[in-house]
Amino acid sequence: MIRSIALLSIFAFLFFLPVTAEAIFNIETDQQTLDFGLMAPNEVRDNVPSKGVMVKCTSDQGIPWRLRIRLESPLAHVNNPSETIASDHFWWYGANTTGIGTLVTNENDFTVERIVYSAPAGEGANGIDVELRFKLALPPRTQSGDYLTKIIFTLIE
Amino acid sequence: MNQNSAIKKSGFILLSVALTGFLFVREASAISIGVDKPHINIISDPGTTDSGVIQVKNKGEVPISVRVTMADWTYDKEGERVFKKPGTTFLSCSDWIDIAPKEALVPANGALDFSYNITTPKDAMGGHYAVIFFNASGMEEEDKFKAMGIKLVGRIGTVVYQETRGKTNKIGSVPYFKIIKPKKNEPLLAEYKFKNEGNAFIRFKGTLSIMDKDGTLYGNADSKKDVGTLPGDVREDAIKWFGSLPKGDYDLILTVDMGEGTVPVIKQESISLERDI
Repeated sequence: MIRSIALLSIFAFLFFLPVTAEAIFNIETDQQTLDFGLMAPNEVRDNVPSKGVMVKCTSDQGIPWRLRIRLESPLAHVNNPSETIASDHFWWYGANTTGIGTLVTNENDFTVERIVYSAPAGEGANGIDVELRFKLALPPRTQSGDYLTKIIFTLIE
Repeated sequence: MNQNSAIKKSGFILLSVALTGFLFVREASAISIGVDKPHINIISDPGTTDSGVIQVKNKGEVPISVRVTMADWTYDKEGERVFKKPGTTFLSCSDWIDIAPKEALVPANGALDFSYNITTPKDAMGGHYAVIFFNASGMEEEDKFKAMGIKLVGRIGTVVYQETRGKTNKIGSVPYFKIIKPKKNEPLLAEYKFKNEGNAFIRFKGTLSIMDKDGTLYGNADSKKDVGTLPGDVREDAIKWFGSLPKGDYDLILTVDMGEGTVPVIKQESISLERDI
């Protein structure tokens, strides 16, 4: 009898054990790099990558959030960092989303940090996909070689 | 004569740029980063230190390198956050925050705790703000990335809201309130501006109540969103009333709520409707 009561007490305790739900606030990109391939001066290459870069944002916070984009620095020559491709020759645009918020679909250059997607309150508990594509126009006088930079996607309330 | 000098001499003929020599055969893996605290709210006493932990999670299949950076933030005219260098804005608390580690590896499908201390100076007044950024990038070998060109980095922010206990005033005003009568099928519109007159962050929301001259309530309408403001900010908002009203005279009462422990701002306007809407 006593053992039964003890077991029941343990089960009751476990059943009513307070559970703290973990907040979900997460960003995920489906690839780690962007590839424009070989380009010639004056060449414009659009719709890169052809399948898009997919960014998945998840928030269960119930309040509005933003996906933002910026370039860490202009594309710089790997051996001669003072040789750069200006950020107004490099563009991004939103191609698609699974969300109901506002996606920026017109071309924007990388001169400043900008908002890509604005989510209304309550959106994103199961994740929202935002697809982006990129365009690059090489200036006429571009030194040959590899150019480096980082595109930073930011998720913030 | 190397290739570059030959190209320079012959103009731009055949000049090509290898932006990204894509060396990987396999598909690059996804990068994932999350935090358990998208924001931190602290109410602190001057001269004290508040501590806590932010857990950074990696739900991806590859390890990530996480680097912590700080920034200040303000709002632009549209109410969107603008990030600025740490310690450069009047209400910054970036310099009050110490976080460790500054850089770390978070394993695939793993998590790591970052500990923070926020030390409120003895002479602190009102509210102060910052954002802690966790910058995640893949752990592929740097040599490979040098040839890759453009690296994608996921960054997630934890917004810090600090209030100084006993020295914070959350007060606001409505310097502009106007009712626009509807035309045909348009809704009745209440436009107003809210000004943060205090010394701390205020999130406000407006409610419009419509009453006739006998005091009968016809209905309420709310702002579509809560709007954040910093001290001194003036923000426009509008409330739409889609309901019907018979012709007559009405009082429209705007109540702007600023959250728990504050006194709402109330404004009133009267209108006369010459026809039913």
